[in-house]
Amino acid sequence: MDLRLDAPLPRAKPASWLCRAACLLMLTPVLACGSVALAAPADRPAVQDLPAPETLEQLRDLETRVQAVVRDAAPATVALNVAGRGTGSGVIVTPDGFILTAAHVIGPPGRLIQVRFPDGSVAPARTLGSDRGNDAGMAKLEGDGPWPFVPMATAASLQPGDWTVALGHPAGFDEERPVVARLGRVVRLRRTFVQSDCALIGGDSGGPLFNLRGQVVGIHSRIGKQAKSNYHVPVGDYQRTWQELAEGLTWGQRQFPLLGVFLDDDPTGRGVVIRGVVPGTAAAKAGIREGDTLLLIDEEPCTDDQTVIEYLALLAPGDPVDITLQRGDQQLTLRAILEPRPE
Amino acid sequence: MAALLVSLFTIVDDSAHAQNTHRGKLDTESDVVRRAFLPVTQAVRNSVVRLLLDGEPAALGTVVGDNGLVLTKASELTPVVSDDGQPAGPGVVTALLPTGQRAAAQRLAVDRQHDLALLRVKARGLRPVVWADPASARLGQWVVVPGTDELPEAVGIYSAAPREITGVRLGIHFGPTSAADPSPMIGYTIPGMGAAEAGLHPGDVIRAVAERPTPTVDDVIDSLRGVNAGDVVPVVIERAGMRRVFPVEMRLRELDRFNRADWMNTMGNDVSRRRDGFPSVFQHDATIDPSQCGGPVLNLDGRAVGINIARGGRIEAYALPVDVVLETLAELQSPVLIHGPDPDDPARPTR
Repeated sequence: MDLRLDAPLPRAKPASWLCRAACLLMLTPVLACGSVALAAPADRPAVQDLPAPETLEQLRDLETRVQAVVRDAAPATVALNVAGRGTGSGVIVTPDGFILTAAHVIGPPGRLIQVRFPDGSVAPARTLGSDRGNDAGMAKLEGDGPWPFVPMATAASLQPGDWTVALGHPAGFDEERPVVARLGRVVRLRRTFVQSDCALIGGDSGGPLFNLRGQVVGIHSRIGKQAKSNYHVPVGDYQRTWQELAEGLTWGQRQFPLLGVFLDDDPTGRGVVIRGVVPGTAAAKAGIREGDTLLLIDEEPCTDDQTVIEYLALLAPGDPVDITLQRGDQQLTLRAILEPRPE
Repeated sequence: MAALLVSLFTIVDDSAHAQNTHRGKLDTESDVVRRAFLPVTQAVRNSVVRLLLDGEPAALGTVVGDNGLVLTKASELTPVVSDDGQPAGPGVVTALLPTGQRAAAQRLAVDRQHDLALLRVKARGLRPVVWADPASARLGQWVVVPGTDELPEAVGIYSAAPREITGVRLGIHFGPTSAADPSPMIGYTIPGMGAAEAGLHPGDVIRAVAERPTPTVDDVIDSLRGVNAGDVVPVVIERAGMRRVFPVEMRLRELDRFNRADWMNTMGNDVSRRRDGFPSVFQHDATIDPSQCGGPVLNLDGRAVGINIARGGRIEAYALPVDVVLETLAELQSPVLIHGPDPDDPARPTR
């Protein structure tokens, strides 16, 4: 029998990093710093607070807002070419050229990279700091600007169900198809990520997720198997660590959490069977028992063991997860607090 | 400092944890959202048919004229041929109408370039779609994909303006090049594609394609513009100091499971068998599967902005824009094609 412990992942990566191989470019180094443009908190569009639009007028209202976001934000949504790492996306958030992107797009600080604007023009930028724990990364354009930029939303202003627009340069820059727009909604908010159903793919990494006011709420980072499994670094993470990122500090490491169960696919396809619980782990403390069938994890259906492993790998030690189980003819929901994986 | 922040946020997160998911029912394309589009799909209730190939749903069809004229995605109505060369079925096409009735469908003509087939569905009461002004399309506008039910099959937004999706490939990946020597070298030949079949090897340096010199990788890519699937082009390579010419057949790219982009594109969904090699398509993000191609893409006014022609990958569907559809429709309706031999006859050359 092929049993899998929930963590670490059997293969190298929890979900796919969204990068793509491409060509290199070397330029001259400079250092810079700047200030942060923070959008003032303002009225939420009424359509955000409905479970769904109900009338044609509301759909038209939504459409007008989405079109405005795409129109206004596209010029600041750039493609980044990083020597030896491939291409990703990024978004300029200050007139003096600070770029938010993903840590896995830019790599180490102090490197010169090529920024391509949607109109095809090119400018050099320098990589700054990154938090490898949550995949936040920063770069800065070399010239004085002013550069096209978009505002950032205030931290933690998103709510589940909020409409969002994803922009980026999927599969790399393409002059014939500059910026690609996708609509979605916030599926889940966690300490470490925003999940949306804006479909992303390789090359989108580092690109921006917007609210309907055209403010950056997240940066594309990872995808899972399902089309609605798209994960973004919350914009608040950049704001909280702006100084460190701008100074070129690099810190953090992805920490994979341990639940402490052995999983096996349920032959009936109803869920995932717990074949064993490691004593003393989060699962044991939460009261999960051998023989239980995992039905939902944070309200997400457990279709196969891979779904569970993929989801857990997005979380960090200390994160709570709500687990709904079938035990005999009883259904129960337990909360486990994930623990660090022992070395 | 970092540790303090982490524990602080854990506490905040914990208290709010239960409210942080919306339980799936509010997904962008959930029933509750699609219901808002009922006024849009009602306008085209008699303008969309579902096409069955040997009894199985294979595509949607767009009613484009009186007397049951329907456009659809041609390649979905061709039975899949298995490895032993046998087609999966006789290839009988029937139409499932919005009323739930079935009707016979006859193939009139096929345009291979845009992958469009013109059919005649023998049914009354079908009404042609109303076309949108091609100049009205805007990035970010809603796209609505009607089926034969009341609710739309899928909804999304217009993601990218019309462009060419090049399809034909030599079937190679390039090896690493350097600034000192940018010559395009073959790094890998994809099994089953033209280059591998013709006998090109990893390590071969490409010197010319289709009579055009190719000093760089970009020149190789440029040399393939205007080349169509099925064309055989001469490829000059240098191997061990010798120049040799190989005739290479250009093919539409097959999925390659060792290709990272292909792997990402297919991990959560099916893609269309024919999904590239289109001269002009726009891209949208409504989630359609291959059997939902061939039908119209509507704007909020209920007018058709195009016809879905492929599920391209995880993030994208491709649709032929109105001007391309109308131009192709006119060609498909020309007397020669309609009154010519049976287009189902494999001996008959199609364009």
